[in-house]
Amino acid sequence: MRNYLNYWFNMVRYSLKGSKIYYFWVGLLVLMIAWGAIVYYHQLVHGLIVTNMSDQVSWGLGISNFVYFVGVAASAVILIYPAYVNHNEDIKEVVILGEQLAFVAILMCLLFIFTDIGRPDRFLHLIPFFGGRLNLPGSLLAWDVIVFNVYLILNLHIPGYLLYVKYRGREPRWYWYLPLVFISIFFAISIHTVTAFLLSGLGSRYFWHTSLMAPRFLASAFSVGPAILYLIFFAANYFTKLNVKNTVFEYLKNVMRFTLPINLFFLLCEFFKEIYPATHHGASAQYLFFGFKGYHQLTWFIWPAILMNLTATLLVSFERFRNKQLLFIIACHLCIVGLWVEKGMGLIIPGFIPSPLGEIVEYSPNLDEIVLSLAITALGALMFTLFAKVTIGILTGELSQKNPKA
Amino acid sequence: MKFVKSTFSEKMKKRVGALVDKVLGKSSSRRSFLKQLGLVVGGLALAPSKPLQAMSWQEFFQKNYKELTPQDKKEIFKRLERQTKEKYGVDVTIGDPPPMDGVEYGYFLNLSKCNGNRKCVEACVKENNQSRDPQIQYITVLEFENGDMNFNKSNKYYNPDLVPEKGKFYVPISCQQCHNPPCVKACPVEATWKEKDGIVVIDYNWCIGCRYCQAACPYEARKFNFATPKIPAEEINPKQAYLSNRIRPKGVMEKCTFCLQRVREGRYPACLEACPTGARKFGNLLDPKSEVSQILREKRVLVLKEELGTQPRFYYYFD
Amino acid sequence: MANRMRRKKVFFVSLFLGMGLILIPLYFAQGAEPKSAESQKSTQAPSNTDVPPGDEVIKRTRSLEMYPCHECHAGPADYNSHKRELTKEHTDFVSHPTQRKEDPAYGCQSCHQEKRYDRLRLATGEEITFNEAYRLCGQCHGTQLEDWKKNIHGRRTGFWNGAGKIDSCTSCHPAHSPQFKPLKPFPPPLKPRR
Repeated sequence: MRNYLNYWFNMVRYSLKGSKIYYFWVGLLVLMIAWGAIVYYHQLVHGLIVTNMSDQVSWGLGISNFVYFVGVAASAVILIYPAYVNHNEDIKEVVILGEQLAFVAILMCLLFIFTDIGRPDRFLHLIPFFGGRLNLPGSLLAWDVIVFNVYLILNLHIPGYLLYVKYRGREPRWYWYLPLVFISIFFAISIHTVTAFLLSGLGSRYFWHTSLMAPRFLASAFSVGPAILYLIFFAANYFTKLNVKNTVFEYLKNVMRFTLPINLFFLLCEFFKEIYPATHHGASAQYLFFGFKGYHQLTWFIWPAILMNLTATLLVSFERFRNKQLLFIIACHLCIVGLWVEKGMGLIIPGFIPSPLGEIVEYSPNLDEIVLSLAITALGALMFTLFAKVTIGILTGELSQKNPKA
Repeated sequence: MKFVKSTFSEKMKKRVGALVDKVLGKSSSRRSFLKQLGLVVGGLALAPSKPLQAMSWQEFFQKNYKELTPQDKKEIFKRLERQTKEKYGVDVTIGDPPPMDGVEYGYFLNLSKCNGNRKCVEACVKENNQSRDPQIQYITVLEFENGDMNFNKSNKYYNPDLVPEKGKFYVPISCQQCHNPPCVKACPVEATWKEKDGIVVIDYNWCIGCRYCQAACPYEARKFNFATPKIPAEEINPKQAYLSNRIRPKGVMEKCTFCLQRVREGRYPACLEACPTGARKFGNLLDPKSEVSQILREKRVLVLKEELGTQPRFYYYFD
Repeated sequence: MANRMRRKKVFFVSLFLGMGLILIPLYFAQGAEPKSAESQKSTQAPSNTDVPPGDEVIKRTRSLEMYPCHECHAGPADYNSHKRELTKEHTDFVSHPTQRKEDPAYGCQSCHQEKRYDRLRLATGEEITFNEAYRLCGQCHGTQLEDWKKNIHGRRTGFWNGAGKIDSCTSCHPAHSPQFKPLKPFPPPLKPRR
């Protein structure tokens, strides 16, 4: 027990040491979080009236980000599967970072929900043994609560255990983590599927009521996840002593080679199904891609996003481009931004326009909402930075029980 | 893959380092960094600002309505009456009329008679203490053109001098109290449920305000309190019920409850009594002699969005 | 003996007289039995089945401006049922139904009792009060009358599971211009701010 407490103490101390760049980055994130905290307090006092949401568009930037980062969280399975099932040693070295990314992403999702509901003081109503009631098996949101929390705990325990034993200089015992790893693979897919189901299970929202919702979610998650991981490993190689092997980068590239075109194909399928028959049910898609009844705000977002995705897909599909470092990094950035727009403004917002009674109320987030979203993202980035610092320290052997004051 | 550190990045590092030095002071040790961090966070915590309203323990740990004992309810209603008095300056009574046995409500709206005058909306807002700012109205009256039932072409903001306008017909829509409500299925915390007499109710002290039910409802019946409701004190209806027309707090959902506080005592909903054309009909569907059962048997009755399988108990008919 | 015979006669005469005195009022009292609950609540003759059972039909005469008619139309000289355009009083009259405007056989006397303006008349010649105007309207608008009896047509206030009140036809449809008038609507909802 004493060892464990010392371990935590040493970890915190290690994470607060760093280069000037490190302090700059952390300081920036802290400022952003502070700004977001002030904005959130304002929202708590006045209610959600401070946002641009309305009865017609009742989910906005917060839920869009939630849906996006669920995908990021689910994509940890990209690394877990080859590391533990295929026993790929190179990936096994860095899989902990992937699991920590998943943990941080889930935490961000929970925060996005927490800051978006009308009564965050009633969060205990969602937790069964603390006075809450969960509407099972009916409510998909209730299922979401369960799978999220299980996945969160799994991704807290597995990397935590593995890091601790590495710190202590011991070999991990398989029964402490391996079964849980396989369970977490299942849950990674399920958090994303349940989130997709909570949208596609609503018969009243014709734009979401499609069987392609869950496959689209998974395809975009497995495009964005490897892109983010690629950039993280690139930064780790550049800024830290960790040496991520080439094979890891090649593996991530290969994943994106398949998932990005699949993503485009799914988009094409959705586009055709909504636009070609020109039924009233396709009004939302009509609004999104071409404008409807004179309203066309989202067309300015979706077409650039599609262009970005297309470019990223082309860059990734051809070997000539794929092998050029700079081009691939550009492709990753395009993929991340393009899919964010496609999932947020291209999925959540059009579901509400037109409303079930045919009214069009447009939505764009105001400064308060943007700051709050950026602050939560910054909080996630900060947590991941601190985790990664410690993880890389332990993985490279710089921080260990023998050398705690590194 | 080689990572060549270019001179550009070296220069950037130096610049960033200088900036950090300036911000944190020359001795950028751990201690001073932590000190700065602590100052920022502490300053924020102590900054004077409008305080959040304190909540009592009872309110925080209040159980779902379905788990409350009669004693709990008495205390809760007393507390709510006191809070309403403090906030709005009006004495109110909060009751809890139980559902009647052998009763399932049905509401029928005669589309041949409705002329879109919206007196029902006015009466509903007054009876059910809906917020005037931000404005909440349970009933939405849609104006359609003759021959076209396309919701995307409907208009709810019509405002001619006189109604009905030639070539148009009017459809008032409020909560349909469905037999198979998608909102009840959606709610993650069971804050909304279908009662024995068919009314779908919300426990405003249990709702977490996630708005999933609002996404699920095909009739836009559910309204969200984005802010604390503002109602002029002289317009507050003091005869309130826990599950229906008491004044809601901010951050929770609300909707039409068929004026539960009236119908469970045998009276008509406020919208029906206000309708000048007699287009609204209400009664017990289980009673074969009631006017609603007779309408169901004899008239040309339809429901909205039937293909969604919600089975509303709000019917529309022509005669 | 004569005395006994006379006493017997007096006895029987007084007996029959006494019985008669008691029985005759009883016979007449039978006709004045208490009215049925239905007709007690409603305002028409006991044999009427044209009303919603159990409900009170709101009296129309309370709201009529120029009622009772005999205040002006007191004697035979004040009755003129010939079909003509009215210029001095009752000038708001619009013929209903409009398609029978030119029919000489159809005029005021088709609905109004000729020598007694306080009453209306049905097609059978039966006299009814203004409070029973629904019987007159129901002669042509049978469907609406049937619906009105079942509380499907018209406005009913009161209790959905108990007694109520319902308006007679002319409360919403004035007899001489029955089409429901357009109303000024309550203002539309505010548009949601962006």
